[in-house]
Amino acid sequence: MIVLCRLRSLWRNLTRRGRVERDLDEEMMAVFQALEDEHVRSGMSPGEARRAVAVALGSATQIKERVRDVRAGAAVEQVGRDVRYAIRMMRRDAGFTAIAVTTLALGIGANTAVFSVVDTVVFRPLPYTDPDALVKICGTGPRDPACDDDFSFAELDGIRRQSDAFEQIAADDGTRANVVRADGSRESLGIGMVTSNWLSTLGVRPLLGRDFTADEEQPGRECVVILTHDYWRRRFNADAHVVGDTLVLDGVTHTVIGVLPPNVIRFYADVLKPLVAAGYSDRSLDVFGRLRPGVTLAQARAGLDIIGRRLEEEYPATNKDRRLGAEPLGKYYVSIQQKAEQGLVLMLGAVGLVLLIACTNVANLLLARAAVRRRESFIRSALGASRGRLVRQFLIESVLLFLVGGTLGLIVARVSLDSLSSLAVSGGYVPERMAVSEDARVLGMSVLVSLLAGLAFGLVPALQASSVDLSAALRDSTQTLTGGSRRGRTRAVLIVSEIALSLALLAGFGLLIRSFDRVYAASGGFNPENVVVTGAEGGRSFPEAVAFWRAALAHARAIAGVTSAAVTSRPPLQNPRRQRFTIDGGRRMPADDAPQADDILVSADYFRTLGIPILKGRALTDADNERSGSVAVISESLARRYFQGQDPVGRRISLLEHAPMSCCSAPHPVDGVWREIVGVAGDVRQANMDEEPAVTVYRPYTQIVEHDMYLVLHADSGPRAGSIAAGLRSQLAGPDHQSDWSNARTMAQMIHDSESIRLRRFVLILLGCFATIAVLLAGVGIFGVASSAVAERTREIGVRIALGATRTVILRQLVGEMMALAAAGVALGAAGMLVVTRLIRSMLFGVGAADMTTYVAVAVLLGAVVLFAACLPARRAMRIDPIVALRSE
Amino acid sequence: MSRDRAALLQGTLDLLILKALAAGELHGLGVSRRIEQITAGTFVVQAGSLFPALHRLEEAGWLASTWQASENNRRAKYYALTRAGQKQLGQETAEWNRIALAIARALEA
Repeated sequence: MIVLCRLRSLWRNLTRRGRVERDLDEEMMAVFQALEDEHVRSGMSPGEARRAVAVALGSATQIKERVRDVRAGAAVEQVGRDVRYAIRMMRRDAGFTAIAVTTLALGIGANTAVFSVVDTVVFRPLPYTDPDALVKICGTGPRDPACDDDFSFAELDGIRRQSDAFEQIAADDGTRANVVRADGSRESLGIGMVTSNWLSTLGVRPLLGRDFTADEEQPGRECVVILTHDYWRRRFNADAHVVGDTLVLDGVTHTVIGVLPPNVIRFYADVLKPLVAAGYSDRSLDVFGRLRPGVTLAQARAGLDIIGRRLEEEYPATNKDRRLGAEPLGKYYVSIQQKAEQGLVLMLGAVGLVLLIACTNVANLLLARAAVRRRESFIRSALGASRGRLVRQFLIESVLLFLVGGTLGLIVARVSLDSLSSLAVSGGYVPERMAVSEDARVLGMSVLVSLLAGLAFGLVPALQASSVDLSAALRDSTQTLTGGSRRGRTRAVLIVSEIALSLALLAGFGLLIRSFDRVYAASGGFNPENVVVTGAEGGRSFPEAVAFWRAALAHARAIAGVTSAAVTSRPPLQNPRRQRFTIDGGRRMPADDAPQADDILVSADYFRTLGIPILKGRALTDADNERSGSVAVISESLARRYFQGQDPVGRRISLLEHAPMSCCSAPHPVDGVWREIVGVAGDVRQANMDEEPAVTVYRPYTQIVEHDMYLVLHADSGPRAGSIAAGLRSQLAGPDHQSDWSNARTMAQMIHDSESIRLRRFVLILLGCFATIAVLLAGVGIFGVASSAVAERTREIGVRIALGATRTVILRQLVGEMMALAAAGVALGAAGMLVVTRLIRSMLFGVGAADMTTYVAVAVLLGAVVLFAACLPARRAMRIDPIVALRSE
Repeated sequence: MSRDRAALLQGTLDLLILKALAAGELHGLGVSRRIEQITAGTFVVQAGSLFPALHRLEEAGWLASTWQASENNRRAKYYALTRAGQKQLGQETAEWNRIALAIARALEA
C-alpha cells in the first residue's frame, strides 16, 4: 500500500515537477502570509510582522529545500541536477572539454574500430546454425599425412550411402568463369560449385530468393546462381529485386535465384551454382557434413574409417592406403592464417594501450581541474553539501565526459571502419569477401568501457576535488610553495606511466619500421627490377602445353622493350609444390622419409630473366627439351646440404613424387627418372621474403609440364616494365584466345603485395597511427601538468624572481622537473618495451627485439616532444611579473 | 531544546502529527499549534521539520491535502487523515504505549 502510494508520488514528482513545485511555493507563501496577518492583527507594523515571521519560521527557501529532500525520487532529481550542472561546467570550460573529449573519442573510436575487425574475424561465430555440429571430412594418403580434402564424386557417393553419423553431407569445388558486362568489360568470377544441400547443411537460408533444389543438380537444369552477399553488394548495389535477373557466365545465361546472407563464404566464390555430378570428373571436392544430434566427432571418425577401408577395396587403383577422417569445420571457409590472427589480437592489445593512455591523460586533466575547483567544493560543503554529494557531482561530470567522448568515438569508429577493414583485407587479416561490421556487442562494449573508465579514472580526481579537510588544505597550500604536494605526486605518477606506455608503443613501431625496411631491402636472391609476371591456366595435355608456352614465349620476346622472357611453374613469392627426392649414390631411403625440395619448372632464360646467379655448371638451355636427356639445376643450399662439399655437377637426382596434376586426370607417377645435375643456382627466397631459402630443384618445363604456369619478362627499363604489364594481356591473347591470362604485374608490385610485406604493412600502419596518437597525448599530458604547475606556483615564482632568481634559472628548473618526469617514464618504459617487443617478435625481421638504436631513437624523440610541451608553459612562468603575482593572492 | 530531545522528536513527530489531525483537518501552522497545545508546550515543532514531515506522510498515503479558504478568508493547504492514516495512528499509538509501559516498568524496577 505504502509502496504503491510512494510510486504514485514518485511518478507525480518526476512528471509534474512544475505543478508540484508551484504547489509547494503557494503553500509556503500562504503559511508566511497567514502568520504575518496574525501579527498585523495583533498590532505590529507590517515590517515588524515580516521580521517576526522570518524569526519564527526561518527561510522559506530552506524549508522548501528540506521538503524536496524527503520527496519520493529526490535522488533521481538530484542526479538530474548534477547532470545539468555538469553540462554547464563542460560548456564553461570549453577548452578543457574539447581536449578531453577529443582524446577520449580517439581512444574509444580506435578501440571500437579495431575491436570490430577482430571480433568479426576471430571472436564472432559464423552465421551457421549450430556450427559445432559441422565437420569437415577429409582423406589422408600415405604420402600426405595432412587432412586432405580432395574427393571424387564416387567417394562422396560412397560416404553418403554408408555413413549414418551425419544428417546431411554436402560438397563443393571452386572454379572460375568470365562475365562480360553490359559495358563490354570482362570480369573473372570465382564460382563455388555446390551440392544442392550445401546451404541447408550449413543451416543457412538465403537472404533473398530461394535455395537450390535437388533437381537442379541434373544436367541441363543447372543454369541458376545464388549471389554471395559481397558480390551482390559490389556488383548489384544490393538491389532488392535482383532475383530473376540473369548473369552470363562464359557465354551461358544463368538466372539469379537468390542472395546469400553476409559472411556465408566459400573461399573465393562470388556466386554459387549447382554441382552437376555427371560433368564432374575431378578429385577435388571439399566435403563436410552435419552430425546427427548425439553423435560425437570420435564416433563419426570411427564410422568414416570403416567407409574408407571399404572404398579402398572398391577402388584399389585410386584409394590404396587412403584413410578417411573428420575435423571440426570451424572457420574453414573463412579462415585466415594463424600469423594474421595473432597479429589482430596484438593490435587489439596495442589499441588498448592507446585507450589507457587516453584515459590517463583525461584523469590528469581532471586532477588539474580538481585543484582549481577545490574553492567551489569549500563553498558547497559550507552550504551543507555532504562529501558524498560532492564526490557524486564530480563523478557524474567525469562519466558524462567519458560518455560524450565515447559517443564521438563511435562516430570516429564508423568513419574509420571502412578504410580500416579494407586495409585489413589487403593485409591478409580479414578474409576477402567478408563484411566487417560493428554489432550490438561491440557498441555495448564501447559504452561499457567509457562508463567504467569514467568511474575508474574519475574517482581519484573526484576524491581530491571534494577533499575539504581544511587543515590538510592549508598544509597543502603551504607545501605548494616548496613544491610537490600529494596531488602533484598523483599527477606525476600518471604522467610517468603515460610516457612509459607511449614509449613502449613507439618502440614497437620503430622496430617494425626497421624490420619492414629490412624485408624490403632483403635480397630475395633475384633481381626484381624491371620484371613483369603474368600467369595462365594450362588445361592442356603435355605436347599441346609445351607448344602453347613456346608460342607464348616467342610472342613475348617480340614485344618491344622485352630483353628476355622465360616460363616458370612458380615465380618468386608464389608457393611452390614440394617434392621428395633422392640423390644417386646417396643413402637410399624409403620414399616417405626422403628429403623434400621445392619443385620448380623453368624455361631456358629463367635465371637470366630474374638475375639468379649460376654458381657452378651451366643454366638450362633451349637444348634441354623433350628430346634431350633429363637434366636439372639445383639450388646452392641443396648442393651444400646434400653433397657435403662434393661437386654436384654431373651427379644425378631423382624426384619421387607424383607428376604435377594435369587438368582433369588423376595424378600418376611419371617422374622418378634420374636427372643429371647440370648446374647450381643461387638461393632464392621463394615463398616469402622473410623466410630462409628452401632447397630447390629446377627442371626444364619442356620435360614435364604443370597445370598453371607463369610468364616472366625482363624489360629494358622500369617505366617500360609498367607499360608492358598494362598491355600484356591483350598482346598475349594471340597464341590462344581461350586461355585466360591473368593480369600482369611487375615484380615490384608482387613484392609490395607479398605476404611478408602485407602482414607487416597493416601492423605498421596501425601501430604508426597508435604511436602518433600516444605521443601527441603524452605531449598534451606534459603540457597540462606543466601549465597547472606554473599556475599553482605563480606566487612562489614571483617571490623568487623578486628575491633575484634569474628567469633562466626559473625556466631551467621547470623544464628540468618535466624532463625528470620524462626520464622516469623512459626508464619505466624500457621495461614495457621489453614486453611489447617480445609480443611482436614474430613480426620482426633483421632486427633483434633488443635493438638499442631503436630504443635510443624513440627515447630521444619522446624526450623532444616532452621538452617542447614543457617549454610552452615554462616560458609563461619566465614572464611572471613578481608584483602582479604577489598582489593576486 | 537540547539535542537529545530533538532526536526524540524525530521518532515521535509522525505520531504527533497523526494525532493532531485525528480530531479534524488543519493547515500546516494549525498542526504545529495543535501539537504545542496537546503536549502542553513540551514540543515546539519547527517549520523546517514540520513541512518535510507533512509531505512525507502525504506521499506515504496517510494524509491527504486540499486547498481551502482559511478562517480569515485566505487560501491555505489543509491536511486530513486518510483511512490508512487512521489505521497507522492506531498502530503507532499501540506501539508507543507498549514501549512507554515497558520503559516505565524498567525504570521502576
